[in-house]
Amino acid sequence: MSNHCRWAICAVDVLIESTKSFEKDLDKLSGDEKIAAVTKINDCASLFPNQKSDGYRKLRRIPLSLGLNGYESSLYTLKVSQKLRVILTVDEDPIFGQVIFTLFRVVKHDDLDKTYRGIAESLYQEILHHDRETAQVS
Amino acid sequence: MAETLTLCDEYGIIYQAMKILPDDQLKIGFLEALAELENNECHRTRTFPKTRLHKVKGVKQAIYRADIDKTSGWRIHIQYIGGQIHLKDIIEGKKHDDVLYVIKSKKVRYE
Repeated sequence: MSNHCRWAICAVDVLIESTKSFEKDLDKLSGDEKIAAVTKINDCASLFPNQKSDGYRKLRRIPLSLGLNGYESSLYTLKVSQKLRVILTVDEDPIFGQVIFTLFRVVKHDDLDKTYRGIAESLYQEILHHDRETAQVS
Repeated sequence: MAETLTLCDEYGIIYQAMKILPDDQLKIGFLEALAELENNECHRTRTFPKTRLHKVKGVKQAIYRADIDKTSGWRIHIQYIGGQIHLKDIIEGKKHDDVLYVIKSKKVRYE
């Protein structure tokens, strides 16, 4: 993680963390696209302290074939424009009274599926490896 | 006396820890970690200097990692449910990077 930003609104904080890959993607965008991406992320994050369900309504999940065995993934996409999507995890952290946004990538819509699955594979690599080992055994 | 949160041990993690932790120093570290996890003052101030408590990212369930000490890699997995701390697992040092693997292999404990 390269950057942290904390919103302190009401009782629940929103902590935004960005990865180096996200920062690199952001640097490649035009000025307008960059502003649009940051604005959409901030708009979504600002809903979580008081209107959590509205915040989740802005997020989409792409079905994964990874088989998380009943666990719910917290990996989402956020629409910036017709062309652009942000890939992020949103983790509710009740002990610290915060919601953690971890920004992984901002990509063109055409690249979304492949990139999202790549991040999921990396995020859940232990599960995948375990499944492969199980498949080999059975 | 310090105020404490309810700490639940449905899976006998304390018993297991005493059996598998390799030395007395780690066993004491485990007890100190439990003391911190149930200490209401730590929750009120949201500071956990010993266990460096933090949420496991990528899964929606409120699963946390708590270090037993700072160097060995031995950790406790807990789940926070309704203001109570539920002990879910004790993870050996060399396995600590495989959190999701461990969570999956003991899935029933985390739901």
